[in-house]
Amino acid sequence: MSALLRVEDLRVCFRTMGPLKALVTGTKAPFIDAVCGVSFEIHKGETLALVGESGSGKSTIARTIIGLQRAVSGSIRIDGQEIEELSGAERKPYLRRMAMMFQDPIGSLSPRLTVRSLLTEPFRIHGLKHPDLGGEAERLLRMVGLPADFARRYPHQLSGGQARRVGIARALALNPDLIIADEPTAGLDVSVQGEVLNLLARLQDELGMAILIITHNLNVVRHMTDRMAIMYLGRFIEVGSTERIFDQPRHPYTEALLAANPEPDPDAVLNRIELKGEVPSLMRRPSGCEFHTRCRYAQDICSRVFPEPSASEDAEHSFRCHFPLGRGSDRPLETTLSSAGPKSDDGQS
Amino acid sequence: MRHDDLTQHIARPLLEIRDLNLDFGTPRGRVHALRNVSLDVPAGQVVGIVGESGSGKSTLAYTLMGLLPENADVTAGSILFEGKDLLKMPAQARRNLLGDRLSMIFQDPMTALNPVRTIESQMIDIQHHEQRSRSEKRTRALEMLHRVGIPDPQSRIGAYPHHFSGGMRQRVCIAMALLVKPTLLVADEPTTALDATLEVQIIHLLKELQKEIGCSVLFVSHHLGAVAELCDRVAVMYAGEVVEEGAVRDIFHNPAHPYTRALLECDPGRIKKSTRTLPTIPGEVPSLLGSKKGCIFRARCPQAFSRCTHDNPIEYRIGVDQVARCHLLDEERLVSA
Amino acid sequence: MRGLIAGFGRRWLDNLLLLIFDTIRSFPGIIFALAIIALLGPSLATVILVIAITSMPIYARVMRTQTEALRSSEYVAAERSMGAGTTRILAVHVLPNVIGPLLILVSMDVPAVIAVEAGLSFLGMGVRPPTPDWGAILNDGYSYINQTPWLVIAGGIPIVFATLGFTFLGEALRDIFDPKLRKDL
Repeated sequence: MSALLRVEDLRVCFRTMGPLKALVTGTKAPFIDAVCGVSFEIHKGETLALVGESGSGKSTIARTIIGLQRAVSGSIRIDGQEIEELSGAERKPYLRRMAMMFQDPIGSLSPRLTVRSLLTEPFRIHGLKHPDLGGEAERLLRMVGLPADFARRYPHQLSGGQARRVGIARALALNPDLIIADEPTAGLDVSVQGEVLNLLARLQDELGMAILIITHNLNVVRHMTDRMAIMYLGRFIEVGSTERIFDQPRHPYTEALLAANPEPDPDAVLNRIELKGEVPSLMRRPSGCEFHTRCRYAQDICSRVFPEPSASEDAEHSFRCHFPLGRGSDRPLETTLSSAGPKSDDGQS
Repeated sequence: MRHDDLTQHIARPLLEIRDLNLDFGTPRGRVHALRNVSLDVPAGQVVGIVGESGSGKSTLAYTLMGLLPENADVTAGSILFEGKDLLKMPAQARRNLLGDRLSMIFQDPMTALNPVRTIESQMIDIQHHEQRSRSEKRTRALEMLHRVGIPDPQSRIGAYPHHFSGGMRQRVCIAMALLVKPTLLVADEPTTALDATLEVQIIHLLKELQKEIGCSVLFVSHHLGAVAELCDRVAVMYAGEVVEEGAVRDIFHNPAHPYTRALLECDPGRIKKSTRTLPTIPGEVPSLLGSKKGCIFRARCPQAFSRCTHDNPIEYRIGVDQVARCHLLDEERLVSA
Repeated sequence: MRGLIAGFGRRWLDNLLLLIFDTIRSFPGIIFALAIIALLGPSLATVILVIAITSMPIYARVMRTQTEALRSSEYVAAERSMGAGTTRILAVHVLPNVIGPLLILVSMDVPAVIAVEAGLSFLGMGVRPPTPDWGAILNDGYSYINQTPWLVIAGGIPIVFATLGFTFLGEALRDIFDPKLRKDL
């Protein structure tokens, strides 16, 4: 089965200064890599999570897939069709197969439109004739469990959870194959978070779409996703099945992230792992393993050699670390890989 | 329960909130944002206030600090701080307490600092209650910045807030709040705007500093994990009422109010197994417009019975020092008696 | 409209338009007006043109700032992600949200514009008789203010009413455009 969405070696840069200033100050590359060399695929009906803290590049990936951001290099294929080389008009039918939900439940709804207009907006944008737009809006509202009279409301009259439901309904309007959900639970109370996640899970069971969840909240990931990728400074540092990673994280960063989301129990939370310092600036990427500045297991080699991804024996789980946690049997594999690694370091800069 | 815990409660608490009622006047009518809120903050302890949005937890913090908007109206109750009622105090005397005995950390470290002034001038200004020379104040500011983990404070103190990252800015805010050696620190969702790994750092920092300075902390948060880790006591708020209050272990291990139980169940951190259906609390937070009869949680409560519609539940005591507002507790007592 | 383009368009376009606005603004208004009138001759059309050109940069500036703030807002990104074109986003999602402050500005500007127009008329550069003109009427009355103030007061009343009317109109329009301020909801 071919992948619904296949992203290969994606690289996205942001400009740090104008071209004139770069010329004057003699900066050769006035760019920072927000996403560097990320590859993944999503199959039909599957759920994948991109997990990371702010600045990890997870939202940038989503914005690039949906066409809000241009990639510097790499490929994005939908059903095998490369969309990065298509012009705006040619892209449109492919974009229709994906829908994105943005972080702010209320702020991502155009404030002057009624819920009815918001829900039927996708049809108008894509010039689709629909005999009964009003009925369509009602159908979508029903699907997400909101009463039909919500169609007359404006975004500011909705609670966070209700606005989130409207956002989901709008994403579903054109029956997409893939929904990209950027922090679907951001700004929502825990009891409402559960409702939103349950709704997404139910709709996925009914409609069979794939979901790409972008979040910093590991609790969201655990119950919703099949696979997850953990990002740090624009790179995947650990990828694998959600269950496996929760059971046995291999990268120290993953371990710390998991420990930062503890069970709410005064006796259980005492072993939270505190990471030193903050995420380094993208303008000054650390040498070698980019996590070594905060890693509690870091050794000499970590600051010099960039770790290549290595995989567990069944190839289900891969990670970039010289000294992965867990069983020692993986280690010989790592040392052989990392000794071949140094060259790739130059390739990144 | 340890012995010294008990003796601390016999001594008079630093802060006593008694039957506080607060309304907001709105064009649609009066919104009862706080109803019969009673809460103690013992000296040297960290008290957490948890609740969802609209529970009134931030309103309570703002009431303490006298930072309420104009349409707020305290209709009844008292806030005794060190034995004196803040609400009856002249405005000037109350202002003198702020930034001296009482200080606050806000949710958003991006907007809590003045963007056009350096950290140095803001940190010196905050010590205006103290009779010291400018250079002494600067030295104290440097010490404090160092203490909260700002690397190289000597060169960083002259910087503007936008030179700092979010986590560093929250550290600066903490440094400023603690510089005046307050007896009570009010922290309103101080970690909500931060990433998970930074949240851990800030919680640990607050814990250490609280022990060092010995002040009390009122920690407002919706994050149960953070509250469980930091606090000695917890008050659970729902729709403007404190529905349950007690020592942190009692609340988390032996919740008595159905809302507390539901809230704890909802926290996804509790659910270890992979599941497609997470627990939720069905229904919505009730509108706070107009007066309400009966238990505020009854519409969403799985165990509601006839009495809940008529009677407003009083505080029932469970164990040594845990109270909850739920009629079920009264019924249980009747059955066992 | 130009402010909308400046706020939403590319960086160089923004800079170019700002340069034009600021150049216009750097001329003292009345001298600029006199220059244009000298070129085109006094007439009703010229007066309208002069007032339009001199007051445009302010509106454009306000518009630009507002638009720029909205450009990075999440709902605009959401619309773009659904494939909406720039024209549609500007017309349906941005314009209604920036029009409110602009209308207030317009209604507050009406008296100022009437004053400018009256000033031009006073200098004999404005609207030519027999076209009726409040500024001119006020001016005529002004000569007799010592004998009988009623001419000025009577001439002024329509200006006051017109100004107030525009202010209310502006506020009403803003309320209609902004669903948050509608009372029935």
